[in-house]
Amino acid sequence: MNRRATLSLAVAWLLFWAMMVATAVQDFLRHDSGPLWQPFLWESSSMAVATLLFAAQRLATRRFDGMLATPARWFARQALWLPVWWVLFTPLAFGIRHAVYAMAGMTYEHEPWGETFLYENIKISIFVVIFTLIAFGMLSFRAAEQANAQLRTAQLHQLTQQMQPHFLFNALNTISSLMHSDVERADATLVQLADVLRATLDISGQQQAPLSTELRLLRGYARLMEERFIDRVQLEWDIDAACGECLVPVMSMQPLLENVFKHTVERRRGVTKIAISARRESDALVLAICDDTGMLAAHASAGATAGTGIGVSNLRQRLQALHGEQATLRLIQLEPAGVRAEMRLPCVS
Amino acid sequence: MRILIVDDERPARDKLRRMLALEAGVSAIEEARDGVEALEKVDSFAPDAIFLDVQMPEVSGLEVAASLPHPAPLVVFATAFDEYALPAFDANAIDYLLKPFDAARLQRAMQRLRERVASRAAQNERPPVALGLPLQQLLVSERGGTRVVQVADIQWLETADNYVVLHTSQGAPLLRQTLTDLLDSLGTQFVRCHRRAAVRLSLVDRIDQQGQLVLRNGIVVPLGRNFKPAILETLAHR
Repeated sequence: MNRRATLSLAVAWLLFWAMMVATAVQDFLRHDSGPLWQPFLWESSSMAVATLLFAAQRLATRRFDGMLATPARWFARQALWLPVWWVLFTPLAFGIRHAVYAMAGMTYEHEPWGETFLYENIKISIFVVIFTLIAFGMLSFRAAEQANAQLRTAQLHQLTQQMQPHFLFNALNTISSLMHSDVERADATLVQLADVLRATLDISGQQQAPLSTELRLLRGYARLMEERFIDRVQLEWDIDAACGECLVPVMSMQPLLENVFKHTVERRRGVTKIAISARRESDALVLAICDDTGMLAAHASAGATAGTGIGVSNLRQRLQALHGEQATLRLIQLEPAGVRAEMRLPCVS
Repeated sequence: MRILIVDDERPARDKLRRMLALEAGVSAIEEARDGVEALEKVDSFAPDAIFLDVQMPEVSGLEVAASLPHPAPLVVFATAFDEYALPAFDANAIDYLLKPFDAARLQRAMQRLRERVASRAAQNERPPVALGLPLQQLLVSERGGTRVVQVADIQWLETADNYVVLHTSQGAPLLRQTLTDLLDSLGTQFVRCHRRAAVRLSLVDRIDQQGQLVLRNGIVVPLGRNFKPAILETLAHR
């Protein structure tokens, strides 16, 4: 969590306990007599134990932050901590009170333990639920912020890829060549180039788009590259029409296809076959881009220098932010050759 | 003039072929899709000039240029953009075309080529096109194919008639070039140690009692008397 959020949570926490103390003091003045440190002790002992337990809960459940995308699962993990509160809170808080009273030479009197446990645990349960909800809100806000930042990184990355002279000027040269032989195709290719550039300049900030929209962009890019490498690449599309409405992260497939061109088609003299598929497997959407000649080692070693690793790792982060563990992105080395990039995500529309 | 177009993208080849066909003095046009094919076509087609793309699969245009057999055809680079090439081109290439280019720009390149072809008939010269560029490999035409030699594998170079022997750990292929031209292309990592030989500086171990250079792997390379002071000087500053 960033510093501002942490600070405001800490202040809210302190103010909450200030309110508890104030209430207890007023109640004490009205109904009891004796030294005024007593209501302070009651509430501050509760606060100390609650702070301790809440910090422990946060530390222990930190690793489930990835489940924020699926709130039910996240809350289930948090709920496992309620019994911890029930067992530990009352003995610890009341233990402190008894100890301090004893040091002051007094006896701390309260209801019998059975009733005390019941009463305190009801109170503390409500308390835990309130602050867990607040934590959920703050963590979700942070996740959304991160997702936005990742989207911007993705767009910036795509933009630099497409503003790369090698891509842009070769695309322009292709169009310049086509104009003499086939005006219609030159026109279509120019429009595709414009579409590709426009998509990366999209500032709507939408995290997700229907698969059909993503595929339209992908086809534009693919046709453009097919024109450039007209005798070196064969594309096959196998798109299940039923998936069209599923939401996918924007600009999620293009970086994967771009990798195939960059690491395989452009580096090979022979023909590369690329298969692009989208299908449903029960509730999951499976998107795959598969070539028949690529070597994953070449991707990795080139990625380290050319910065293409950014495309894949950024996409992974965005999938994680949107769907947690329900989405995966895998790069698989095929035998005897070829690379399959497979994205699996929940199909929601 | 016979012209060879080397580019891995067909639309780019189509465009250049169409434009060249309209130029005066072009008698034949041939195409190659990559560096290996380019070297084969240089042998079979004997072009006067090559239009050479820089970024191509497996072997770059710069590496093709450095591997051209002597006497080499004239080279005009045609590239979308290449960060290394541009400054070097200024000094050494006949011309370079930035894609996409128009007919007027191509005509200027053709004019330079014609002038060069004319002057070349008088004096048999070859400009060092790939001077100081990052070459990783050279292409060597051999019987039955083209061999790719990693520059990093070359230990020393030796002149043999019209060829340069590239001594590597996996054999000694012959490149049809002059030692001077090849050393121009390879830059300062190799130094001449004999009228007929040059050595990879980083491999030199010592000078033995017979006054020969000994490499780290024990191979002995001839050392010319006239080159000894220069070699000692370079070794001292290594």
